[in-house]
Amino acid sequence: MLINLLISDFSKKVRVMTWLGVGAILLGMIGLAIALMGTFAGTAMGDFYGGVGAGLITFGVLVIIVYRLVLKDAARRKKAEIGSKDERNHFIILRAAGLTFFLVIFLLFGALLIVGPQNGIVFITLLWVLGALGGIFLLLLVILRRFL
Amino acid sequence: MKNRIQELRKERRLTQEELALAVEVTRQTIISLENGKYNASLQLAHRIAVFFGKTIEEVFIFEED
Repeated sequence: MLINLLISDFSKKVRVMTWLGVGAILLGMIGLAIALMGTFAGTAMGDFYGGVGAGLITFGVLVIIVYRLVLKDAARRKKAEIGSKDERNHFIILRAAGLTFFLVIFLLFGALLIVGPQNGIVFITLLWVLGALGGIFLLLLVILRRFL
Repeated sequence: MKNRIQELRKERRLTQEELALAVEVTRQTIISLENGKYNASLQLAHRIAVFFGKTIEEVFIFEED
């Protein structure tokens, strides 16, 4: 979805999404290889890598099918192109992303207060994530104010 | 912001889908514009006005709060 905001040329978007699909399949295969052959084989971590790998492969295959096969139909392609450029869709994506960001900040802060006192490592990790999110947000505000 | 999109579209016997295709937005955007739930950007307002052969002021009615 966010790729619609970053790439306005639809043909370029199709190319990028296809490569993203290929990348996901390759990463998924690495995940599966780790799950089946690495030192994690047969452990809970192995199952985790296997699940993530299978998910990535499925995502990659679906993306390639949608963007390469379905969009070969001219009418469907035109509809998809309009949908990806539609300004109301962009507005909705931006609003949803903005709201999600602030909700994540509140949830992280809540998690910090609840779990933090019980586990030092979790507390430090959440604190760093919260700090990084705030830092990135402020940095982007400064950059966007300068260039828009 | 009120607009005359629905009125102008019906005058020309166009469906929302046909208008959407002509101004390169989705049908949902046309529905939202007609219902006054979404305000068009200047670019889209210009495309719609040009499509109907009108000026932006003739299609979109600005109301101060």
